[in-house]
Amino acid sequence: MGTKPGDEAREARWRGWMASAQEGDAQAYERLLRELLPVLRAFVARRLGDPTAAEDVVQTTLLSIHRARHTYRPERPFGPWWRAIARHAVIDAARARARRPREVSLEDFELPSRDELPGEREELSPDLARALAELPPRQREAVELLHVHGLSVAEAAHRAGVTPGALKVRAHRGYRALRLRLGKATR
Amino acid sequence: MRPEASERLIQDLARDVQPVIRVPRLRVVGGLVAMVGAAAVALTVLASEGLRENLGSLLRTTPGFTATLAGLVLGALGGVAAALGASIPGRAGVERGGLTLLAVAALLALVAGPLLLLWQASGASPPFARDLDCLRGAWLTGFAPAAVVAWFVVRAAPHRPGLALGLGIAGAVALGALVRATTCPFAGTRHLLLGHAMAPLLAAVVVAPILVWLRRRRGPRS
Repeated sequence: MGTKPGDEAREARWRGWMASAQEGDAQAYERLLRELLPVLRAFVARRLGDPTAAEDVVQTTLLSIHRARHTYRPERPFGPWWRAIARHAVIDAARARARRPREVSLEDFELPSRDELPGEREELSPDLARALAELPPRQREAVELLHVHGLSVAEAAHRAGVTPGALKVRAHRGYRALRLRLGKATR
Repeated sequence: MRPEASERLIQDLARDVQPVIRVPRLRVVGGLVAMVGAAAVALTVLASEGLRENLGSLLRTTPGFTATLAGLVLGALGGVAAALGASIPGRAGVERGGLTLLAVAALLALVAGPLLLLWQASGASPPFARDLDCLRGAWLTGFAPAAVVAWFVVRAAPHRPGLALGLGIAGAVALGALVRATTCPFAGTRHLLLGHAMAPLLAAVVVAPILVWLRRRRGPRS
């Protein structure tokens, strides 16, 4: 399969930016990830066939690229390196979907919609704020990042310093506990 | 999901970026494993009473023994190559090559070797305790090269760490089992299978899960 001259130039540019990013150059890294993003989106969407789930996989891939950036060798092409990471993320997502018949979503937990939950904790209803405060810290953090601050799973996982799977588990437990507490409060 | 969240994530990641120490080249790690393995082999041969006296005649006259030894050679090369390839994104070619060697190795050492030995009725096995001695010896000899491979796998970014560690440990212990088979005075199908050919497999099954557990403990909190 032949490569276009534009592809070669892009590959050389990305390789240079990645090498600079490994030296700690934040600008080069941001440029690289921004240029990569649309290509990565197309790569993931083509393989996953589910546009809604694709953005989560894109974010998981970005995190994996970040965590594995020390494994890139500048003398080797950049394309196969990032594509292998993206392919693994797609495989993991497809496996996770196959294991779970239905994605755990916020709607499963009968919580108020995001519009009803403002960004600041002080503006939450007193019952919900109290119930949230009573949650174990890790569950509370997961619920707040996802539902109160409106972050995606991958982004919230990055903020919390955990894997997206672990964050979903914490959020799931948090929602269950909230539902129990709110149910008791309104009874 | 929200595309703008990806943009925000990129900003966060760029803000978070720190200089990193690159993993060494695969050929450098492979060379290091070979050097450490050679030192372990030399120590084992010196510590034992040298190579078995009838090694040459066994290789010529006993195809089952030869097949087992050939399987262990290929297993050592294939296991280490597959582990190193599986640890770096984009090196699937190295991983596939290693896995192919490993499949041939398993066929030779675990199937063809024992069947040929049975067919040739190659003598009685020693007591079971001797099987365990050889198993332990293979593990001890393979320990140092296995540690080098495990260090690299843990430091790199394998998609499936357990598998990569298992492959690397199997490869390193195959080297130990190979040396042990050339210095051990015993023959017999059961002894060759349990004490030598199965040593890499057993090591991988026992040690890899422990290393994966340790890796998880030192990884990001979950």
